[in-house]
Amino acid sequence: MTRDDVERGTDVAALAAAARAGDREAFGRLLEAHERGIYTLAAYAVGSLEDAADLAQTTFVKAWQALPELREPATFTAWLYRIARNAVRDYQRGAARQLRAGPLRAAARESADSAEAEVLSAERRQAVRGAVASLPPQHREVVVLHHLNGLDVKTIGEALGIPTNTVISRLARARQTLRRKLTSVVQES
Amino acid sequence: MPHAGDMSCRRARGLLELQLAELLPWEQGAALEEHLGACPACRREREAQQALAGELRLVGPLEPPTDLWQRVSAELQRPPAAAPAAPLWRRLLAMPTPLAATAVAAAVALLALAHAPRASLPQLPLEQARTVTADTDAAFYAQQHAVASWSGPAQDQMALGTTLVRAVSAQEAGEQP
Repeated sequence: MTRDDVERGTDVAALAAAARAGDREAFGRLLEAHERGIYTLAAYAVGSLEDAADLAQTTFVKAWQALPELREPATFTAWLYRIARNAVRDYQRGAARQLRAGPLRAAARESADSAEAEVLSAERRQAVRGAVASLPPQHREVVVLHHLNGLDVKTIGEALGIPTNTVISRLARARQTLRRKLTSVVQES
Repeated sequence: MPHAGDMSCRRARGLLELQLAELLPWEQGAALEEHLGACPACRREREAQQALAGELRLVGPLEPPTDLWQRVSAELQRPPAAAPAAPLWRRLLAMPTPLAATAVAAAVALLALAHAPRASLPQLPLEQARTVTADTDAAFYAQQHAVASWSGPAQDQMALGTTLVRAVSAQEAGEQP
């Protein structure tokens, strides 16, 4: 379950159970609750917003098709992120595929319900995004999932197939790197 | 590593990570707070960690295209594309065992037939062949032919050949003075 789910009171397990039984409206609500997270994971992984949208679409289509195989509806979020990671991996394996862009473009739309984002200057947001995007893939992934998407470390461990302690240690190392990078950005500016 | 109270700073930094992950048990949290109260360096570390976590949270996730659900929904309503035909060996493996065994046996029999040596009819002069056909015991040939064709076309050819050779031999023997 994500921070947003808690804040909105979304009952992911109940929606997942309904969707598994064929309720497309319930699946639509699950998509609504997870689309930002899946899109963000894909965008930071492949560096292209356009391809991230395609990957998010692929993830949800595959999830709908595979829903009958979901044994425990309460684990829907981790399960969905596993599908997204596999989609990203397939994309990255495509030898003929050329990434359409390198670093995330500044034109990324802000989260509509993030009024707090105004507190952070556009330049600073861009600097933070750039620092996250430049992390090694394993560190970038946990930072995106935990700090940007709001997933708890247990769910991240389930999604990535690693122990919770490993998630915590990766987060710690990633934050150290981020602090160094962001301090140098402040000093340069 | 310096100490403040009963806890080393190294231990306190580890607990800070757990606290950020919201996994720090209450008792350890109380011990950490005690350490932080006496250790300005660890206090500054926590403030820096919290500031970074706060900034990352403010940056938050990216906003996907507004038509993502429409795109997914359209994709779900599209009839599934016909799956490409699986290779023959995979289809055979997928069959129930008796069916697969029958299919393999039939394939082997067909291959054997295709490569079997074909019996060639004796080359007879046209006139002689007519004579042979006219003089051959029709009932005997019909019986041989029926049985042989029931067994298979190649054997039928063999039966026909045998009958003709026998008839030619008999005729040649009769023509000799």
